[in-house]
Amino acid sequence: MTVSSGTKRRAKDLALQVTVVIVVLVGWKVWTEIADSLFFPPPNEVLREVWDGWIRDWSNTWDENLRPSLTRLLAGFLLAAVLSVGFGVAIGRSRALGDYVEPIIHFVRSIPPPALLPLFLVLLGIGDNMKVVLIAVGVFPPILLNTIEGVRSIDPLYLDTATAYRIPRRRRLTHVILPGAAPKIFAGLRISLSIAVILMVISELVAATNGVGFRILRAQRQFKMVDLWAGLVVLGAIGAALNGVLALIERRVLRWSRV
Amino acid sequence: MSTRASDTESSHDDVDARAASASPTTGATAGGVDEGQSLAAHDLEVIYGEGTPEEHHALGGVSFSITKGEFVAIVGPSGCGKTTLLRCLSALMKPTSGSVTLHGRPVVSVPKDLTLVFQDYRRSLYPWLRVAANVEFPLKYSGIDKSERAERVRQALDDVGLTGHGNKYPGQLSGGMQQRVSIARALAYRPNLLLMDEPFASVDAQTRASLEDVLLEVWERRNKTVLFVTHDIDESVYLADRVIVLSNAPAHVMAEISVDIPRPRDQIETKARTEFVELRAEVARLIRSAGSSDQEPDAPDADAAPGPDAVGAG
Repeated sequence: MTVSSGTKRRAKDLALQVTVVIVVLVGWKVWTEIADSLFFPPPNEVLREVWDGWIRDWSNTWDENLRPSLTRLLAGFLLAAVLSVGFGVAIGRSRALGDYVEPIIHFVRSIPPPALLPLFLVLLGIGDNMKVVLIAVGVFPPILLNTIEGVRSIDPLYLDTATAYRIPRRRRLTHVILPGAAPKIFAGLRISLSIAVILMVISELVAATNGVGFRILRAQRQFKMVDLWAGLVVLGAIGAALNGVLALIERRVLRWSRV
Repeated sequence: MSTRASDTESSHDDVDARAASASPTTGATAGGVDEGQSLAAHDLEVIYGEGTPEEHHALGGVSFSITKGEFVAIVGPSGCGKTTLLRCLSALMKPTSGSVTLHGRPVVSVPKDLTLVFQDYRRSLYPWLRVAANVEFPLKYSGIDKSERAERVRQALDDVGLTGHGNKYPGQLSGGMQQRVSIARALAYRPNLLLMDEPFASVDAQTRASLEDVLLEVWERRNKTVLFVTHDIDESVYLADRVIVLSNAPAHVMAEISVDIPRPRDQIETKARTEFVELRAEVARLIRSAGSSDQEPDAPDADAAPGPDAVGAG
């Protein structure tokens, strides 16, 4: 495909996507006008609230809602990412270790992470620690399992080559095993990021005095439906932005896999 | 940087030390022990899955030696354990019995002045490293400074005709070009002893001929020792000073044939010579007889495991 036809297609795709968004918004507007329900405000009111309540009051929004939520989310996510990649490499490299711990991993993975919330409330209280730990525990298994699979799927010839050229052990880890497992690790990170957003919101709905989830819950309690809907839109935007950043990092790191 | 700790054993450190003290261009490791004889296999025997129903006797006592500066080809029927043999020689695997010596010292981990070019270049180059980085990768950890590394990479890529492709990823190159990268990597590493496992088996005939000549040219210029495993009889006679013919599995050395065809060799002229034609016929006869004489030793094995899934090891 030539460059110009590729660009043309991308422009066409973009036009189509914008059209769909407009259709959805118009449909939403028409429907809310007909239904005239207090619980379903029209999109223009919701977007106005996003603007007035969130964006124009940015410093307050940032301090009270976005920063606390993002801090919890990223702390839990990064903590779990580092630990699970570490453990995943160890388990992936050692068949024996894998045989010992895999049943436990699969059992723990089967517990829906939100169900751990009551336990963590008792153990860790209602503070940020509880929320970070909940997020970390919830996102741990997908990254771990993907890392294990990624490490196991590395071609033995890659390692033989490293041995034949006497690559030191530590370099073999950072330059052969980790890059070899990277595509699978990123698949795990992508799944985990969505889970992290879910767990962040859940933990803030149950026990918080700030954060995006808290603001949504407060709006509901004060019967501010427009506020509540605006919170959902913001959550969607946060999720999309985080995914976008991760996709960008992935594209850079895995550039070689798309040639 | 010189942390080759756990997998190296003391006697090799001695070899390394001697190799390091010699100038890298002369590459003279020959001094002292066992003058002339570089690498030797002593009665190598490999049995896969010993004691299981899938037991496969790959090597049945292989012995030979290679002299410094020699180009030796090993030929044998498919599946006769050639790859297994190379893996033993380079200490990537431990033989069931027998031993390998380099300059008279036992080889228990991959020696510093030896490396291996694998048959399957697709799985031997690192797809996440660009071509130049693939070639440079092994050099980074053998204490060679940056400018020297860059020079070696450039020269090795020039040698294999890949000038200007250093910035590409292996995935952007054709199969033949990828195998040239893996040869360039071995050349840049400048081992005194280069083991090659059917390196041209999966490239087209045209590329193969040109790679054979690249290899010969570099070998003649640098005066390295090459052990070249192939199942192609023409290739073995065309390239080598000496052809070692292996039998069917369990492999042993059936014959060693000297190839006294003058160098430099030429794809058309050399292959038209009577010596060439006679030698290749001789090797072919040996391999055919390896196939037929093997019917008897194979028979009990076939009785033991009548399934069609013969072990394709090596």
